[in-house]
Amino acid sequence: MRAKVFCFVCVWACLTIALMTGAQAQEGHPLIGTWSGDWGPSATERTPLLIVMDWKTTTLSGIINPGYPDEAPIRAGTLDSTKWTVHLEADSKDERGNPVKVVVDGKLENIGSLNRTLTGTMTRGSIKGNFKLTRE
Amino acid sequence: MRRRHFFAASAATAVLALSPVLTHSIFAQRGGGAQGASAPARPAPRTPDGKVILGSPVGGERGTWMTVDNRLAIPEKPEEFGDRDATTNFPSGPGVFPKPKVGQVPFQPWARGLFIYRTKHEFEPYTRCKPAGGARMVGTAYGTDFIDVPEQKRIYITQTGGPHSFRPIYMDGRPHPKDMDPTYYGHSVGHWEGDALVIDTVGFNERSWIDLRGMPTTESLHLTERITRPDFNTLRYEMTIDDPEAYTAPWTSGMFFRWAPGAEQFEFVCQDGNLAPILMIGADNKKLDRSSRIAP
Repeated sequence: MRAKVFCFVCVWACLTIALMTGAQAQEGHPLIGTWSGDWGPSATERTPLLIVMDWKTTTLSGIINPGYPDEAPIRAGTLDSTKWTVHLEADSKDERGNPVKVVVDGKLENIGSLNRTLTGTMTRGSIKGNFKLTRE
Repeated sequence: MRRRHFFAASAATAVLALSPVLTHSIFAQRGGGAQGASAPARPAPRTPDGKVILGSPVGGERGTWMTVDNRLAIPEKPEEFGDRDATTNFPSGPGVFPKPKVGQVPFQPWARGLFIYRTKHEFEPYTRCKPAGGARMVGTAYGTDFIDVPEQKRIYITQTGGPHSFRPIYMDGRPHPKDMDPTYYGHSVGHWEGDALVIDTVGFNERSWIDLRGMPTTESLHLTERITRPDFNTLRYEMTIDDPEAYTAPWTSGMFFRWAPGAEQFEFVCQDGNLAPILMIGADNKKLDRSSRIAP
């Protein structure tokens, strides 16, 4: 049963990534796309991080770690295009199913590049750390 | 032999880099604006049934269209100026295409931010040989032509520079397809309104810029182009951008093209000849970014 769930999660994640990579050379809204990297409270404690984002007119949407147990749909997101700072708020659950709030504050850099980056801090419940993401 | 190729490529690069300046300078010397020809302009050529010919006239007379100042908006504030703007005078007065100022363009906030960013970090996909639609497709380097094939009910817009490509305009009355995969040029249908060729295009992808300065657009872009030839030497290109994802309202700009008699389109292989690092990455080589193995 566990293996089945694992396979399902893997296939789902691969499909998500495969679908999103179709928009590689994205010259529209700079946040749209799949961002991958890691985050953690220290340089040695790192966890893979994947954020998929979309933008419709004035609304940012997306999912943090789609398909994983710590998946967190983005509830609110803002972009300050004068400083290229990003603020995301998402809702997740811990291993026991209790709600966990996720807050991401980052800065977009190298916007003209296909592999632009988003770096900053992320708080998941009581854990605070930094992250670095590169757009795929 | 290699050296000759290097010099040829360098010369081509220089021309490409300076083309907006050169074309404007040449044009200004001739009097400026669309009425800049020193000799009285001939009337626009027409087919036997009276339709305006936008491209080379029947009879083998050679020529091609060269763009004049292909910016879509005029910068005013310091942050709106790119490296190339600082050395270019902005034409004004009668006969000059009425472009909006950058501050008048109804950007969504993110789109203005991105446009400003692009003026400082020129990373134009076109200069990396990617196709670019709309004004950038028509306002290409080294010349543009319009080939009307009435038997096919199509008009082809062909470009020399960039990816050396073409765009079909379907003139047979067909609608846009309902389910389109977004593409660089989108899907174009056209019709005549008097002497104006009106082109309606949708179905753009988000992989290129619509003009050389990087006005952001999205897959929601609905582009309307209106092309006229008021006299033999002048082509007037007007475009209305309707893209609610990037702009709060539709807006219009355009450019004039100058007939370059005797010139013709020629084989141009962007991937071989385009060594324009300034256009790709900005004048400051410190901005060089080779982190991407795939051109954006």
